Amino acid sequence: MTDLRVEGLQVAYETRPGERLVACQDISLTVASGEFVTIIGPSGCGKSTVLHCMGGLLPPTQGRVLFGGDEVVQPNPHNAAFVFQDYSLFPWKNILENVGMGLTFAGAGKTEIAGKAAEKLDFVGLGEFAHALPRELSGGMQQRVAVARALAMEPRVLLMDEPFGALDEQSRRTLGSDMARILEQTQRSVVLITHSLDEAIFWADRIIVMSARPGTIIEEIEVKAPRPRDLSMMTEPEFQAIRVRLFDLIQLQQAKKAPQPLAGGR
Amino acid sequence: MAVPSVYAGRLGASTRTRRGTSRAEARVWRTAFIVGVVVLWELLARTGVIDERFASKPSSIVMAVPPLLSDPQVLEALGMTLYAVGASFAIGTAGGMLVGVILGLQPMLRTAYFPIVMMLLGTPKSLFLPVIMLFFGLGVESAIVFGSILTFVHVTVNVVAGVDLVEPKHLMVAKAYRASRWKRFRHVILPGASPGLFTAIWHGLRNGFTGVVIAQLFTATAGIGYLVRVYSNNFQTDRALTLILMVSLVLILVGTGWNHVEKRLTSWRPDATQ
Repeated sequence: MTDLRVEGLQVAYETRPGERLVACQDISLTVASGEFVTIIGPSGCGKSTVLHCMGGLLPPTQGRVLFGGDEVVQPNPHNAAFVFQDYSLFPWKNILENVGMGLTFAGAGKTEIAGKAAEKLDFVGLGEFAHALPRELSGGMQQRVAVARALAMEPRVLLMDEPFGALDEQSRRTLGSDMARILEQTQRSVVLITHSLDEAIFWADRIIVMSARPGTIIEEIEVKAPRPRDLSMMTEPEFQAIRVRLFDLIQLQQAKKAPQPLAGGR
Repeated sequence: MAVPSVYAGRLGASTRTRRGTSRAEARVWRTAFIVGVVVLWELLARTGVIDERFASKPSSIVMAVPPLLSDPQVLEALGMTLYAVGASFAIGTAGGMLVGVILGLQPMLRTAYFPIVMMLLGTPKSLFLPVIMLFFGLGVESAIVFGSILTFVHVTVNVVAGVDLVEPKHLMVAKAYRASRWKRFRHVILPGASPGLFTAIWHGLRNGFTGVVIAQLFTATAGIGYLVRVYSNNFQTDRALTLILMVSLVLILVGTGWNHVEKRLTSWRPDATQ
């Protein structure tokens, strides 16, 4: 069954009168129920734009996004909940309140908020920090709180915009394997944006590779490795093969985008 | 996070310790300076280097406190000034908060009207005083109107700057989780802008006070400003200075208290722990 379908998506901005910047175009993809899709591409390729459109945060210029058959015209966190790159916790609210903020915004009742927030905070293993402030937690822990906030909506799809982008390598790995467990247990569809090759492969049932701006889909790669996965997966030949393929695709794109080297003897 | 320039004059910002400077040490130097000035003043006045009739001297000022505080005219003036400040503060802050929030949230209105507020901020507003007098007369009304204008301008500017402090990423979360307008305001904009709102209230109070005292100094027939004028004209410099010092003291106390309230209420801010 398909949860999310993107059809012929294009997003263009008018940077100044008469000048149009096409962020992405001809994007068509589907996310099946329970599927984990990663989207990777060079920076500035419009992958976040695609994700924002999928969640109804941004109206497409052309094409449309369907959620279970209905067109997405505005965010609906019960269908698709966001986890943003910079955690975006509210520094003036404690951790428990932060986990409940999605529900608060979406208009849930007090008892429901309290119950679900506590449950999801325990689920991501941070129950003891309920009354701490965000600034007292490490970046990795804050991101788990942001995930708990999204999970509290019990959405059918999680939309994650470079969720580990702001973390150092070490924390990414640790958080990565924690998160793998968390997300596998929730059995939800996930769309995850990343610019890390390892992340793109480690997480994915399917990798969608985008080109440099204007971003289009240039390849889809299935990752067949069994779940649950752990870090040892990174040493498997399949992982290495995909990594080489991705490196090729992304590097190629980067090189195309980068300014041509100056020819000698100018 | 870019802090708007209006924060430059914020009370307390300069007393926040720089790295490596102990707060206690700074306090000792400050006290030493003040004591030094007082002692020097007293000495110069007693030795006749400066004319006591014009400059008074610290001991006379201290001696002038008890009679002043039991003088019904002074008490009435204090009451009058407090009333005018309270009214200015209420009117100016209410208006400034409303206009500031609206201008802060509506880019079009902001582009259209914020320059007017900024222009008012830059103009020496005392110039309006004679006109205000023409309209509102010599009574307490002129002081209230003038104080309200000053409060309004400063509150508006600081509220707009406060709303600018609201982080787009937090607004994005509100949108992604489909917050209603009210919830967005209540949970994101209000707390996010609170540093600016606190500054706004403080500047509003301080400028309202300034406005009222200036108006009374020039126009009124009652109030602290009026009394300072009368005392100065009658060469009762000690009384005038005592009044000025008392007013300054009250303002410093209120400001310090407000700073503490602010720190308590915004303890989530990373720099609040310092």
